[in-house]
Amino acid sequence: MLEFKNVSVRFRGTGSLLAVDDVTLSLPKGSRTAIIGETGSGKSVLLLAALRLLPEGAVVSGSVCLDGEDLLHVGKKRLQHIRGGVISYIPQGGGASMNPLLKIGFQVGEPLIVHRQKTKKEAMAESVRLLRRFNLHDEDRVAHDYPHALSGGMRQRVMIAMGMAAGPSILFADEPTKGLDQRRIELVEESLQQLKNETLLCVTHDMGFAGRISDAICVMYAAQQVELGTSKEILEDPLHPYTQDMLAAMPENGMVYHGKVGALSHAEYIGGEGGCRYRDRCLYCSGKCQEKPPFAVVGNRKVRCWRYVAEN
Amino acid sequence: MYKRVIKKLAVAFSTILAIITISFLMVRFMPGDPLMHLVGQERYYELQMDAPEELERIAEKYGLNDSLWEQYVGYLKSIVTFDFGVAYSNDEPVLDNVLSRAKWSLVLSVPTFLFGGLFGAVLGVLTGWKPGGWLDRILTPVMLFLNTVPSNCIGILFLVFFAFKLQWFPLNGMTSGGLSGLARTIDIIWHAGLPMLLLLLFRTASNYLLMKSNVSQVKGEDYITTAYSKGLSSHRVLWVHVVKNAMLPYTTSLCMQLGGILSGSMLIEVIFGWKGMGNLFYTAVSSRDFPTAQLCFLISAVCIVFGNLLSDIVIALIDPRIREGNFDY
Repeated sequence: MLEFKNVSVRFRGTGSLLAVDDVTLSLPKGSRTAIIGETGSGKSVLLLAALRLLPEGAVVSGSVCLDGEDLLHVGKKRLQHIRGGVISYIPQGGGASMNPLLKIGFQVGEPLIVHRQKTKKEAMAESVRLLRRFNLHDEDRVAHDYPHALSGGMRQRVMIAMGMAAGPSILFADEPTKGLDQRRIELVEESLQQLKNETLLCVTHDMGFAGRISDAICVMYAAQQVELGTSKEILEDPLHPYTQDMLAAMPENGMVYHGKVGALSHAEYIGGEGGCRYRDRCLYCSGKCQEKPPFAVVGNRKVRCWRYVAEN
Repeated sequence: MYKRVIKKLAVAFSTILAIITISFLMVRFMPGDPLMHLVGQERYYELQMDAPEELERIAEKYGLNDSLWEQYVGYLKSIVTFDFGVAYSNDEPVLDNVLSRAKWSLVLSVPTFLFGGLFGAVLGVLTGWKPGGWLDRILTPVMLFLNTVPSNCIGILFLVFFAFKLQWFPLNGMTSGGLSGLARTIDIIWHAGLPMLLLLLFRTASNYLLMKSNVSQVKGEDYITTAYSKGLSSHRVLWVHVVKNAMLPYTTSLCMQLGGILSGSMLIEVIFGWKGMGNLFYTAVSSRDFPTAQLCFLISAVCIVFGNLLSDIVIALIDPRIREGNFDY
C-alpha cells in the first residue's frame, strides 16, 4: 500500500509556483493507476518526488507512505534499498535515459547487483532472461549491445525489464508510450500485462492506453488533481469539464473541441491562488469559479468542480 | 573499427605529407636566393664576393639548379633517409642536435603530463561531483587564475620570487656542471624544480577545469536519474555511470596534449634556460637556422598529428557509438 498524502512540490526560485499542488492518492496492493494530464501538469514530478529523485532545488511537502513508512523522511540506506528494490521507476524512454557507454544487459541487470548481491556475470545472464520476458527478440545480442542500437520502442521495453529486474512490488512508469506508434504502444502494453501482483502507477498522455492498462485514473490539470475514479467510470462518464473536453477531443470520439481558449498561460494558473484553474477554458464557468473548488467526493469518485458540490 | 583506424591513419599520413610539402614550398618561394637561407646571410655575401664558384658548387650539391619537381623528390628522399642537413649553429647534423635536445624536453614534459593528467582528473571529479563544497571554493579560483594568466608571466614571477628572492632554486640552466653520478642527477632535479612545478600547475589547472565541467555536465544527464532510481549509492553512480562518460572528452584532450609533449613547453624552457626542444626551436627561428627550424617544425607537426590520431583511436575504444561508426568526430 502506497499513499500520497497532501504532496506538494515547489521549486526554489520560482516563487509561489507549485509544480504539484496538494495531491492525495492511494495505491492499494496490486492496483493499476494511471495519471493523465497535459505536459507540465506535474504528473512526472509527482513520481520523482516520491523517490526523492528531483534535483536539489525541489522542496517536497506532505508525505508518501509505503506501508506506513514515510519515504520523504527515511534514511539514505533505506531509500537506496527501496529504490529499485521495492519501488521501481521506469523513466521516459528518450535517448538519454540509458548510459550510452554501458552495455544494455549490464544496465538492465544492475539492480540485481545492488539489491540481490549478484555478480556482474549472473546479472547479465538474468537480464537476458528478463529481456526475453519483455518481448525483446534476439535478447542475447541486445544484452551485449549498447543503447544506441535500440529503437524507441525497444528502449521502452528494455526499461520496463530494467525496472522489474530486482523484483520490486511497485512500479512507476513515466510516459511509457511517448513518441511510439500504435504497434509499439501495443508491445509496451503487452509488457505491462506481464506484471502480476505488482502495483502500477503509470503517467501518460494517452487516454486510450490509460484505459487499457489501469483500473483507476487520476486526471491532473495545472498541478492539481481534478478527477479521480475507476477507469471505466472516468472514460465512459467523465464528470470534470476538463476530462470531458479531453475525451471529446480524442480522434475516436470525433476530435471535438468547443473552442474556448483561456487567456492565461499554464504557469499563471498555477501561480494564481484561488479559483478553478480550468475556468478560462470551461464551458460551465460561473461566478462561483473565482473561488477554489474543493476536491469533493461524488459517488465513488472525487471531482474538483463546483458543479458537483451543489448536488451534494 | 579496423576500417576506422586505417582511415584515420591514411588521413594522418596525408596531413604529414601536406605539411612536408608546404614547408618545402615555403622555403623555395621565400623572397631571396634559397642559397642565402641554406648557407646563412653573412656567409652568402662573403662567398658571393670571394668565391662565386663555391656558391655554385653548393647550389649544385643541394640540387638548387634542378627543376622544382626533382628538388621535391630529393627532399622527400632525404626525409625518408633521415638526412635533414647540417645545423648552421654548430655544423652538427640537425637530427643529432634535435634528438639530444628532445631528451631534455621529455625530462620536463613526461612527468608533468602524467601527474598533471592524474591530479587534474582526480580533483576535477571531486569538485565537479560536489560543486560548491569547500574544495571547489578553494581550488576553482586558483585553477582559473593559473589557466588564464599566460605561462611566461607566471614563470617570470616564480623566477623572481623563488629563485632570486628566496634562492631556493637556481636562476637558469640545467646543471651546475662538474658533477657526476648521483650528485649530477640530484643537481638536475634541483634545476628542473621550478619549470617542472610550473608546467605541472598549468597542466593540472587546464585538466582540472575540463574534468570539472565534464563531470558536472554528465551529472545532469537523464541516465544519472535512471541510475539513482535503481537504488545505486552515490559512490556507485559516480564511479560506474559518471566517470567513464566524463573521461571521454578528457581522454581526447590528454591525447592532444601528448602531441605537444616535445615542443609544447617552449616558453617555460626559454625562460628557465632549459635546453630542450622548445628552446632549440626558439633559437633556431630567431637565428635563422633553417635546417634546424624546419626539422623542429616537422617533428612538432608529426607529434600533433599522431596525438590526434591516438585520440581518435582511444575514443573509439571507449565509446561504442563511435566504434560502430554511427557518428564521427
